[in-house]
Amino acid sequence: MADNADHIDGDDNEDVRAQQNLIKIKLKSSEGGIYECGLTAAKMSDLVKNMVESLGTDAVVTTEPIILGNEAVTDAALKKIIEWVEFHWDDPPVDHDFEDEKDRRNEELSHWDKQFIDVDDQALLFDVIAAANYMDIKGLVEVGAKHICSKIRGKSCQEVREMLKITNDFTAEEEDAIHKENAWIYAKD
Amino acid sequence: MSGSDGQSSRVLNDDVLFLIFRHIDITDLFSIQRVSQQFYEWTQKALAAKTVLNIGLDSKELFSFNITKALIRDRCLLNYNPYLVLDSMLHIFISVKTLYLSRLTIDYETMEVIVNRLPQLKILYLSWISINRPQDKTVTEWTQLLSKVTQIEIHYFSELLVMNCIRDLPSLQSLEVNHMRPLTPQLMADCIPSGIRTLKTNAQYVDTNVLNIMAIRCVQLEALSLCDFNVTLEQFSIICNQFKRIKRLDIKLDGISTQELAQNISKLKDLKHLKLEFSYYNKFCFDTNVMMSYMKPITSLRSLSLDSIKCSAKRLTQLPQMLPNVTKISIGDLNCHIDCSRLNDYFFANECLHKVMQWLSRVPKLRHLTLDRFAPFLRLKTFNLFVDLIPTVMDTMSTTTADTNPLSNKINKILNKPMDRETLEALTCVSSVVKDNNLHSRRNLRTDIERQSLTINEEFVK
Repeated sequence: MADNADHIDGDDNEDVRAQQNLIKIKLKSSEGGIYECGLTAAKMSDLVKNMVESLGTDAVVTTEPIILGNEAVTDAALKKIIEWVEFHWDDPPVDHDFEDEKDRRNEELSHWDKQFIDVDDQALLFDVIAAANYMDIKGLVEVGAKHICSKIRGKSCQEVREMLKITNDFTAEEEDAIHKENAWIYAKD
Repeated sequence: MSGSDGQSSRVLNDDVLFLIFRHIDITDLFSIQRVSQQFYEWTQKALAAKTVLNIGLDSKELFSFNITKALIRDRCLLNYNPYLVLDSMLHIFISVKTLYLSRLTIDYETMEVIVNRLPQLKILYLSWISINRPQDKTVTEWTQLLSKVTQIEIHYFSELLVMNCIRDLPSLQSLEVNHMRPLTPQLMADCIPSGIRTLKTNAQYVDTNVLNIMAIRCVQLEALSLCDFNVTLEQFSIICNQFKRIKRLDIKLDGISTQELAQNISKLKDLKHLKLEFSYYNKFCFDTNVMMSYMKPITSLRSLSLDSIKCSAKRLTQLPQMLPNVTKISIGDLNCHIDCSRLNDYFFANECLHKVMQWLSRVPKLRHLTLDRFAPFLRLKTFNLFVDLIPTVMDTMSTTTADTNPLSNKINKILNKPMDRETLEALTCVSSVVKDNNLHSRRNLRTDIERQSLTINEEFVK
């Protein structure tokens, strides 16, 4: 769609989106749990959007749940994801007038997102990110990636392992070899 | 996948891991690669996907992909363990397309390793580079080496040798040479490369002769910037008559009449960005009425910057017609009191400025106005004039002080200028209106501010 059209009937569009979000569709996790979600919100997932649109807009399925078969889409993860899309579906569209769009993308996560993504249960966090990746919700994947990224930054290998509960599957020799290979990068430290 | 406790070596999906690593800079990628097999594999892929690399001692932290620390000793690139290290490092960065080298001493062999090891290298920026043992290699060898890169941009390359070799470099797109002692107009004439698009140099190295040679050789020149010295009328007319493709022009003029300027500048049909500086003691009379009788409106122009001009409201009447497409105007050191006899009178000076602003505000597409070095007693008042009287300029001002996200850039721009009390107060007010700094409030900041000012006005009316 042309940018211009977007700007002109921006208000109309918002209304349509708000109305559409009153339509609830059902999403089914890989564990079998079924959850309701507003249509506009659910469409933030490109996967769901494509599924809904390929069914035709008139026959929006409100009875049959959409099955999300990936094993990462657990009940808990799906609940989290729905919480996120229901909060973010009415985000203002990207404003093309700003040249500094890149800066904005690099900016920190919003307060809400930070609290949302800072979950104690790490398995759930990973499931949410993997599920968001599977469902193709770009914004949420970004939030997750940035969150983990900020945790990793400036940490040593052992710290990263402890934090993310990763076992070291290198043999001592392998680890030495990598260390030697990149000796130059540590040379000045 | 959701084995909740207990450790495992593959906790994250590969795709997701790659997405995470995209946000991590090179130093951190190196330090975490020994976490696990999976991490190693994907850090390698993330490193290989980096397209921009920055090696050098330039303090500007433009790019996060800086590996300088690991490579540099004593301002020289890798002269402690030559080539082997660089070699093992560069084979990781196979997709690097843009390489910045800055403030380094470099030798031929190092440059050779760089050029050969980065097959994708398209753009090479050389800034403040000097050459170690230049006598080792001939001009031809350097030329052959550097011509493997598609696009080269040079800022201050100190060696005479390189000046000689650039002439035959088809890839050289941009050249910036300033304050270079051995450089003379003669040398400039000899070695100015033919494929060049951007030239920025000190005007004293470019005389009439050089300009004539350039006119024949550099047919692709699109941007010309001659600083520090005045360009004569003769040189200016060569520029305007010969370099038809120029889009960006930045020069300093002295002793030119309004008519001469108009006649010459109108010959540049592609001109988009014009920056003119005039002599401080002999200010140029920016009379749009005279100019418009010698030229058509400059439809191609998008931004205009003028320094040291005098004009008055009466002479600006044609400005909106003259600059139909200009979105950005920047004026420095404006003398606008020609027809105000009592020029030290605060009120009259203001009145003149006010009129000038009215004409400026009628420039149809103007979105950004920068004013610099106004008479100090006017500075405080200018801000008010904008906001009171001129809707479009007010829009501009609100953009510069408090628009949504490019905020930081713009605030910086404001802070670099002498800050007056009123601006400070205005900004304090903003923080009382906007309490929570989140994405939503930032995006709606401008509407909120406008709403606020409306409320204030309504209260005032009551």
